[in-house]
Amino acid sequence: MSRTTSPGRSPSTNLWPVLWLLARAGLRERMQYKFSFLASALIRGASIAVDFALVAVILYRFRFVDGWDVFEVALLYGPASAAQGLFRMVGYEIEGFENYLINGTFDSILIRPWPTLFTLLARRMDFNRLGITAQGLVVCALGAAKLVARGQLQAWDLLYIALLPLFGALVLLAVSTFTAALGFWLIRIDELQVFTLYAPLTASYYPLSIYPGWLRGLLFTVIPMAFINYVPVLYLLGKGGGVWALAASPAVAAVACALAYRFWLFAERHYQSTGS
Amino acid sequence: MPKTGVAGGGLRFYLTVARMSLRRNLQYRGQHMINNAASAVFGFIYIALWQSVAGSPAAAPGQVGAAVLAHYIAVNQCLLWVTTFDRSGLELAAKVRDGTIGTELMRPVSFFWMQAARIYGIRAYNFVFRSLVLAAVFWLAVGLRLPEGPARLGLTALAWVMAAHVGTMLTYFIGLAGFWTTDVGWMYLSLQMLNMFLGGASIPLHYMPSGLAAFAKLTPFACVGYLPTSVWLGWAGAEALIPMAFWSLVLPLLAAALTKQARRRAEVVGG
Repeated sequence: MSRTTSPGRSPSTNLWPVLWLLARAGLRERMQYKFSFLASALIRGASIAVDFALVAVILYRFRFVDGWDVFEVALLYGPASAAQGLFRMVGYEIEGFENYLINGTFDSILIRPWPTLFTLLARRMDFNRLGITAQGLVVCALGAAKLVARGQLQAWDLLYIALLPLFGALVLLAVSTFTAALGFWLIRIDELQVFTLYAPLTASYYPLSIYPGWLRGLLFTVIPMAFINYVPVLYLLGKGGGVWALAASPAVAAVACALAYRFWLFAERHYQSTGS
Repeated sequence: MPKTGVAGGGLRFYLTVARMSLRRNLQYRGQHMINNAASAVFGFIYIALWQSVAGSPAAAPGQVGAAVLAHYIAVNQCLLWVTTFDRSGLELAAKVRDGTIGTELMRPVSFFWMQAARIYGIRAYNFVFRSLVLAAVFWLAVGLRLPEGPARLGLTALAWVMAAHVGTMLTYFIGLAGFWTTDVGWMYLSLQMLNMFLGGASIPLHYMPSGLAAFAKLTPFACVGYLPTSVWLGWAGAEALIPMAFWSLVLPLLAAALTKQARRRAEVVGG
């Protein structure tokens, strides 16, 4: 089966009311199993927090990672981790898009009167991932409070830092969409997603200056994780860069999303059903 | 009446199950190579982190050097593929949910050993197509060396077999939990978290506070990370195999007992 996007299917058609309705329904569904929801959200948050616990233990012993202390690293880890939680809540179906391709259930998405990407986004929100966002915000708040007290951050910097998880979530959504779109040719993309999304995301938890040049280059260009935290935080802490760094994060997020969406539209024309 | 011992199906049967499980994974070698690249990147991230701090002025003179820490992370990254990184336990939980567990329970062989044999097959595949491939990558990138001397090599091989066995049992427990709860995903994450932290997969236990390190070394989680890696690197000798042997014996007994309980609890979807 091969197709192009149907005329008249505007991406913005009823998008926000539908997403809002879905979010409420999703939360109501999860709350039917309150213990399972709370346990899952807590454990998911804690499992991600192990990455920060690791660096906290290391810095307890060694004090600095390439000149960054534990509170400064918290300002890298927190927004990136919170962004991960937001992305995985909204992009649940994109993250698991491989199943649609293997089972051929993408066929049913094609006949909906909406762009396929938005239909997928609107299918389910996974509120279990809020635990990941919550622990990221807690770590970020603890780090920021100490840095404000030390005079390294101004109070108004916090407004910008509060927006970083949103910019980060958009970059992650773009990378995930791009990877999912490759699935129209490759079919199996779960393993690829670990390479394009989760490994680079983990790398962004720590100062990028510690990595070899090839990895840094990757994180600044093809997989632009540097812009979800490192570039703006570097400037805010007075460690380098210019005021342009503050504009870079939202700009990169917007461009990445636009490019990923264009690539998705191109790639879905190459979809072939399972034939069964 | 299904039996719960190895004799329930005969060793040859379980070896066949393990072999079939291995062959099934062979179909996805290409995909797994992509994941190997991601796994190597994870290794490089932690190696860079440790090299950064080990070279800092705060690193005391007697501490383990950056090169040895790089080896520790590299060995652990290879080891995780035979102990931790597979979601086969979750398949068992899925079978409980969709009712196909009924077929599994009806087979005239040990349910427990058959599931374990499947996981062993996956781990054997992972050893060849993931751990060895990663070891080659780390050999090229950070000069990863094999354990020194035949005695150390033999000890390491034994430690790895026991680590894979303990890891298989822990994975089986996650699957078995599917008989009691609908969502085992968070349990799998908990297991990974414990393996990474108490198992020393990301941080050598001797960098932890001493009380916590001493406790961690006694848990089965250290058997899938810190202890076998310490044997490889020469930080520990045969004494490291004692807790590993202990858990290798105790966990199957516990698994068999829990399997009996799970059988009583099983509710199969009719149709």
